[in-house]
Amino acid sequence: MKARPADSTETDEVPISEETESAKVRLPSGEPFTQEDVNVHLLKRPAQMVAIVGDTSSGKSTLICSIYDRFHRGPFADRVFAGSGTLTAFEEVGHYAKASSGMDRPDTPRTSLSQGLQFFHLATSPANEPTQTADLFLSDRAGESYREGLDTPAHLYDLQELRLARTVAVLIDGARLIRPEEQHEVLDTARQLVRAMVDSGTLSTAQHLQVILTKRDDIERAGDVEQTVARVQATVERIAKDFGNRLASVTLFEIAARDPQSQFEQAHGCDVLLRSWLSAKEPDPVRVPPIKAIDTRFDFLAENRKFGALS
Amino acid sequence: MSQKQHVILGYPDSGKTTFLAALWHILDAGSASSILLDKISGDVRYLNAIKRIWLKCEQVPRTLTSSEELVEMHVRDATTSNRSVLRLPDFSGETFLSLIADRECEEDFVSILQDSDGILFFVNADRANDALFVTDFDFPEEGSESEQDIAAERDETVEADRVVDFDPRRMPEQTRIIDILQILQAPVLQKGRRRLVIAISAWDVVAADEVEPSEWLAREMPMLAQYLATNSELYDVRHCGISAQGGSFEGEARNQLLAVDPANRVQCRWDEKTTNDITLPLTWLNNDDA
Repeated sequence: MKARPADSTETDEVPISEETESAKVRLPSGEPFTQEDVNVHLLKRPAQMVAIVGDTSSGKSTLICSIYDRFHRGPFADRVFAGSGTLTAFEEVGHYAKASSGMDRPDTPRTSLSQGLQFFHLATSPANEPTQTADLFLSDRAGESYREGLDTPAHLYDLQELRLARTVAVLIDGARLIRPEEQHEVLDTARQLVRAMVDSGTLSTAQHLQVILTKRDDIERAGDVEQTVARVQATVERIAKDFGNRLASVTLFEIAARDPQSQFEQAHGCDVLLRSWLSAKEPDPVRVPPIKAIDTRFDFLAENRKFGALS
Repeated sequence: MSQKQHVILGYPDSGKTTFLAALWHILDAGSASSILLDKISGDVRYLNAIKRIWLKCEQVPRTLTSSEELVEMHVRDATTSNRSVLRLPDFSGETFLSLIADRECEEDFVSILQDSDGILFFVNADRANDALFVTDFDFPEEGSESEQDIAAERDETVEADRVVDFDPRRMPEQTRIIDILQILQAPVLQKGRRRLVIAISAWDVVAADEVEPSEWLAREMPMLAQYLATNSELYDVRHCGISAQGGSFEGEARNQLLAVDPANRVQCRWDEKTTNDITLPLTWLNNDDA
């Protein structure tokens, strides 16, 4: 995927180039959004942001793309496709899963470090209320960036998507989990990454943490499914016990985004994920005890008005 | 008198030039239709050229369709007698492909799009499914004997040639159409709510399916149908099935077409009725003040 030029602006802002001969008008690029593009969009209307976090090849781009691809065939997760500012980017990432690419086996190009932080934009509406559109931004960046944070947790604080996203989804690579020599390291890395994000002050109680077990199809075919899943569950329970009070919630999901053998439907389990991202709640306002004792009815009204209990 | 300009959009082989040829014949010959021609202005060489080919039941060569002409037709609504000037620029399909690949366009082109009211977007019903996934096909399991056999037979250079890199021009057609419709709503081109007709050409090919044009679109281009349903504040959409050729231009079918009055061989599926009047979608685009 091409990196966007440094002077690139949000897709809606279309400057006219300065060429004198045959003036050209630049059109929205369709490429991944930068953080700046997302910020500009947020000025116009609210959106949910999800940070997709995981090691190299854990399935971040495949997860993002498989959800978009489902809309090619019809509604998904009771939602209908309403548009995307990153249409070309979705198609480019999903290209090697399309028959027209000439591939025998679906593949997803790896997101490189040089691409930095990028966002995919997906607008969908409830199938029964087609004009109630909700925007979703899904972050993607090379897995190496998060690995650095294991050794230097402060580095994670600089990865802005982690602080800005309502939902932070940590991917556990199911394909590595079924290899005896890798399984312990994979689970330990996930737990350690959560610790690093919480301890560095990157994550807060306003954010939902999701642990997503990817490539469920590989686990299924390797056998011993129950034991493998139980190990992941134990890890997530431990994360919830250790860090749950510093996060809005901790939840485990299992997906098979793109099973090459079609044993699992495409984007299996991603419907539940998509719904959870779109419905991720803001934290309830914290009630601070009133400084002044409530003596009169006016004090009572003033206190309740602060929390919107009375309008 | 109102000035109306509608753009005819569509990727290569979408059937828009054949429609324009048939439309020109019907207006010029004064055939019964919902729009009648008062007079034309400008150079009609291009329209006459494509019409002559159409009258002979021959395919319009691709080279001819690359000419981007803008002709004014002074027309009158057959029912209301309201007069309007219809301008129908016919851009080549390649122009739209370069738009989504290069992400820039000429200022003149922007002006025409900005000045346009309605859009007639053509898709060809006689098309292959271009949005299939690798997983829609069976293939041997990884490492299985049959896969190894296939791999052994396959020459490496053949494999390298077979895999095609990403090219936005080759994205699925429904993605490319959504892309153009989104581009038309970018601030530089935005023009409030527009009337849009999705014109499905070669409608005779799917006649046996007994589906309405909107059902065909939902079946064949589901993501585009979803986009249109969710963006009703941007596009006021109607669907239309058009057979501007009237049938196949091959073999005996062509002889049968040649035996029919040209104005009667065209078909238009509009508002759940099939007629010979292919001007109906234009009449609807023209009446957007109603």
